[in-house]
Amino acid sequence: MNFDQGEERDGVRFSWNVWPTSRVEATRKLLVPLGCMYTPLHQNPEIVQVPYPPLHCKGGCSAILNPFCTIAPPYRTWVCPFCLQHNQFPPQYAGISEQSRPAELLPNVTTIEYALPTKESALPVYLFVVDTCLADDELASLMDSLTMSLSLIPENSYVGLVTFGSMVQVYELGFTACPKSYVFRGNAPQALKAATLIEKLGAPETMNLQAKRFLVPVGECEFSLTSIFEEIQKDPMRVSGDKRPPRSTGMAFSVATSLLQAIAPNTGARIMAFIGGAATHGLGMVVGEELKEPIRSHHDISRGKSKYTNQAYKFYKSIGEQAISSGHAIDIFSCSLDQVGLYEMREMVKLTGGFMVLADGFSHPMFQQSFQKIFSRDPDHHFKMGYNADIQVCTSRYLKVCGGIGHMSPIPVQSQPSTYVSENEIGLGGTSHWKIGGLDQNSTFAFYFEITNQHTNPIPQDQPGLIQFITSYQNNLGKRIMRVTTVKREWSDPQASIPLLANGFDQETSAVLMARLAVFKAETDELPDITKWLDKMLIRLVSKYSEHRKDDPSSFNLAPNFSIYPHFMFHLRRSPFLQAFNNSPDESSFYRFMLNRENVSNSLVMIQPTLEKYSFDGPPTPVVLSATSISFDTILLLDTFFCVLIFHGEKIAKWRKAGYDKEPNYANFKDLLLAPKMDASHILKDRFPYPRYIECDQHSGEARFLLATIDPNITHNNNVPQDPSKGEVVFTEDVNLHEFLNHLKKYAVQS
Amino acid sequence: MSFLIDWFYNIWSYFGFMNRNSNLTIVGLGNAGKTTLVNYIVNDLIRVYMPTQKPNKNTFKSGNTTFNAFDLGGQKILRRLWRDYILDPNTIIVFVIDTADMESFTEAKAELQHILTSSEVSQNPIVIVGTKTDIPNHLNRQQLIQALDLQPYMLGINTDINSRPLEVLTLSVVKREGVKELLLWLTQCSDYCYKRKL
Repeated sequence: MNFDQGEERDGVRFSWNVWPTSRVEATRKLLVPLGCMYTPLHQNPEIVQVPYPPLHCKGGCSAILNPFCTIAPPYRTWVCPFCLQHNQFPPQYAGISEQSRPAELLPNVTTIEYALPTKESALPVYLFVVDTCLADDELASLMDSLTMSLSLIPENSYVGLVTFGSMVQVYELGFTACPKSYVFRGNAPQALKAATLIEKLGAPETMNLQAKRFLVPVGECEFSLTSIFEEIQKDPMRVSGDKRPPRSTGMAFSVATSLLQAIAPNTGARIMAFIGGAATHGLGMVVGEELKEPIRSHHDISRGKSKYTNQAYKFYKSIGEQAISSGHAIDIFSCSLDQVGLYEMREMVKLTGGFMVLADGFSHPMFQQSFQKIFSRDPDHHFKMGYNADIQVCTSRYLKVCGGIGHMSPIPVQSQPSTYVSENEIGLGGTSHWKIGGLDQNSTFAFYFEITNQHTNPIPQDQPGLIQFITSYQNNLGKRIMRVTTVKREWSDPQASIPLLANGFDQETSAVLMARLAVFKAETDELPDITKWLDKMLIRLVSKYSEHRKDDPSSFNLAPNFSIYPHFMFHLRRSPFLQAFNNSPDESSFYRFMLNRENVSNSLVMIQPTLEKYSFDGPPTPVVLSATSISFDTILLLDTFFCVLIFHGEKIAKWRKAGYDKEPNYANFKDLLLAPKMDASHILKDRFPYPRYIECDQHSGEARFLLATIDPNITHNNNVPQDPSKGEVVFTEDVNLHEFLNHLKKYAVQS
Repeated sequence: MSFLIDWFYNIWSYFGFMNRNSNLTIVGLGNAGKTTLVNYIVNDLIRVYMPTQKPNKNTFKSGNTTFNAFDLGGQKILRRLWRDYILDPNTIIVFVIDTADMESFTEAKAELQHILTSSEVSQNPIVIVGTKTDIPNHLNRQQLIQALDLQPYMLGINTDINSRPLEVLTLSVVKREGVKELLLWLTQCSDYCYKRKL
């Protein structure tokens, strides 16, 4: 089965593409949850866009007319395949015939975009929230980036500015005579409600976009804003050498969120926060000002010994809830050598669908390039972004939604229990409707389903397994669009025979759905328990779907569409998503955040990085991620999603240092050095956030990015005679893939 | 009498009265083996790690002392963070140096001299840990002392209040050699810091 095809057209991939017809069979046989990865703004030139609004079913369901609806001559009614309601076509649909059908009824138009007739909104609003407790050079770099961004933002887009240090300042950009700002206490005892903010800023009649007071179109304030950026000063509070500067990060978020809520509710907007150090002042502080008091570690958190974490987490979460209630997204650019408190702040970004960037500083390309990309990858508004969005999932009556995992907020089910919602919650459940502050082409959501049909109830032939995703969003131009994707999957026979189900197994999507679940569990469970759970699920799956004789590991065999699933699990267990050692809580939060956001192929790169080999023997080829792939006379290109690394084997490095690439006789060596750089630059161009880019030599310190990632199948303990063209010894006692698979086989065939 | 004092001491430690906390800050150039050493002490496992980015804290117990070990990144840009983690005069500085890496030795020596002569941390105990003694052509302890120009310094835990505890130790994590001696020294040093009460 070709699973990519459905992804190409609709942006959706399922773990299982053939579904058992009853709950009993599903529980026994779907040993990876039934779910899908859906990318609502997936781009494909073939996606049809129509200028009219969609036709809703008048029955209890909220489904929309689609190619799987039953229509028959004389084409006056249609039957909703979700609730079986008969609906009348309205007059504008008169004239449907076998030959002439509206776009949404064409069999290949499973994804369609409607223009909704609502009033146009303003273009997306950008509210900058800027940390001023920075070293002079860092502050200057940040100001350069911000100034540059003004030339990239469309000139009728609104911008605003909030700065923070010991206090929080809101700039009145509409007042052009001189820079004017309102100052708020950084250590106020309570968050600032929108109503209080309006009171303090005065003139409530000016708290709207038309008044152009705090949020002003770039075209009208570029000059004054640029001069504010030029003159912005480091926080005036003097800080002694044994203290951290007082940063009222929490209050800054509270002020910014309330400002947007007051001025631009339910209009696409993003708060872009630039943070250069730990929150130390007032609400949301994550560590005290004394440097002697270190910031919390994983160890402190898991033992409940971190003083500020719980309170700060709750505070930032409430800010996130406030922002998403008015449809706004929150982005965090954490640019510091040490932690800033991303661990506490993460929920704010996750609930609102914002961006998270983790870099070493504001002068580092990981910040500068990432920030620039948000604006520059869309010079002609071709890059799809969505704001103030919501997504709804409808299912055939034989299955229900357990929940979703991704950067969205559940909207609680109103009044009567929804027919689509399962009681069995997975991820953000209890609903089939979620709100999303910000979307882009990569934003991907995992949805989990449950077959609820009873064993005794046969499913009629004419009722296929259907799921419909309805996403409504504000686009870059302020127009409201609704994208509807309707997908159909086959039911298996009533016995849900293993070969039929196995045929429909998509190991890549399954691995990613399991990884998202594991990371979701990591919010509450201990990491070793999650690893045990993954192992247990893996053993149960392969023991059901492998060919083997009882108690004979050598007879174990997996079909090709299952065979690399255990490899994904091996790398997932070792990944920074599930290993806390040598990662701070901020770093773990960032890595998990990204896994929670990307599509199947990007997530797989994160789980099992790709390795490409460049040699004189032929064109570049992908090689297995293991110690045996390292050779002294080749170049490797590693892509872990977060880091792109070029690794020169010892001999290559020696030749390069000797300058052979500069000699005309060795042009092929020059080409060999150049090839991986070209490929790396392609990756860097498309990747968001901009990854760490490294060029290093074998045996150097930076080579550890590679050595820590690969499967350590040659170690100092297994006495492999060393041939430098056949791998490198890794000093580790870690289990390698081969041992892992042997254990798996042993447990899988056990009777 | 002394047996009585020992007896009381043992009873106290049995009930946890003698338990104390001590902070270690582990610094050194990139790839010196800092994270590998910490992981071996904490988890008794040898593993390769990616270069450390943000500082990490790990906790382990040796004798009656619970050590909070701050593992800091060694790449050049990250070294400016070291200072933030050694401000307390009772924080033991563990300076890790690769005994087999001659190429970066001068750089490591300069960083060490910088710490040794910094007035801000003049009272912090320092233990210089030479790693990777399993690799051929490494420097042994004596050679390390000489190469680092440490002869003028008094090594050991002195009772003289004006001189800081200073020691040079070598070890190999891969061969599991020398780590016990390091832990012993750390425990003694933390006892000393506890008594000197700065």
